[in-house]
Amino acid sequence: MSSSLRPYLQCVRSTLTAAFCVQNFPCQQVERHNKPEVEYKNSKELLLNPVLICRSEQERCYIEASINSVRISIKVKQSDELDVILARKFTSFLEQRADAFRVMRRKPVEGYDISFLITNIHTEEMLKHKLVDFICQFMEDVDKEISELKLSVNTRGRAVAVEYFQGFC
Amino acid sequence: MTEFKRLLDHAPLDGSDGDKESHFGMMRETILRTKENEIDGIIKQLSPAQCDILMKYLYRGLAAADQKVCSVFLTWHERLTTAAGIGSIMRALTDKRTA
Repeated sequence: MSSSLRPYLQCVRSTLTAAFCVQNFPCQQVERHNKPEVEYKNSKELLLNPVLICRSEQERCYIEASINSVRISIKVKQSDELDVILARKFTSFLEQRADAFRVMRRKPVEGYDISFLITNIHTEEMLKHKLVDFICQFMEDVDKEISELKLSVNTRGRAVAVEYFQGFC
Repeated sequence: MTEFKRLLDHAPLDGSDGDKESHFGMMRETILRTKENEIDGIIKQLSPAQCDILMKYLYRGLAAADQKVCSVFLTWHERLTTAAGIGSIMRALTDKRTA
């Protein structure tokens, strides 16, 4: 329902803007190490309250923040089995090329389709508001991509079937 | 309106999980009962501390996966962020005394 898409993205955008206050923080357990605290979760005082923003039963966005990193996990809307397969293929295609994205996590968090890990290094090298824009644009576009893929699968299937059965008619 | 202020002032932020659950239930019912054109008026009358507590309840409500509830809470979240600012979101994320 596009009626709640805009408030959903707006909510994610403002939450991310608040959560992206990250700074460098060396590891407290091992000296000379620097780890994204949101991944290791060793010290409770370094973690912020995780926030789950749902648009519906199927669409969710889970934002976990910490002192030096933020993890954003997105569950894309999948209405039928074809959507599930397409979403899995699409997200695994992107995740294999996670190095090119830099902020993408190679494996999604359990229960979600795709995850992003943004550390203080990313916020130092890149612009925070642009990172937020990227995530929100990504969430908007991935829905459109999957519907386009579904349409093209159905069109191709129909064309193949017509060609095949013409030989029998 | 007074119901809102009463609920927000007596929010059991340090209470047990059961207390928080029941209080959140009351809060959710009140929010779902309010009409859309009354939202701005209510938010304008809240103090900054009450806005922060309301923001915590909004996030708790958004975690519940139900389209009707979520769309109402998303509208509230948008209006509250415009009125109270990103700071209230920041305080909802960092404050360990959760709703």
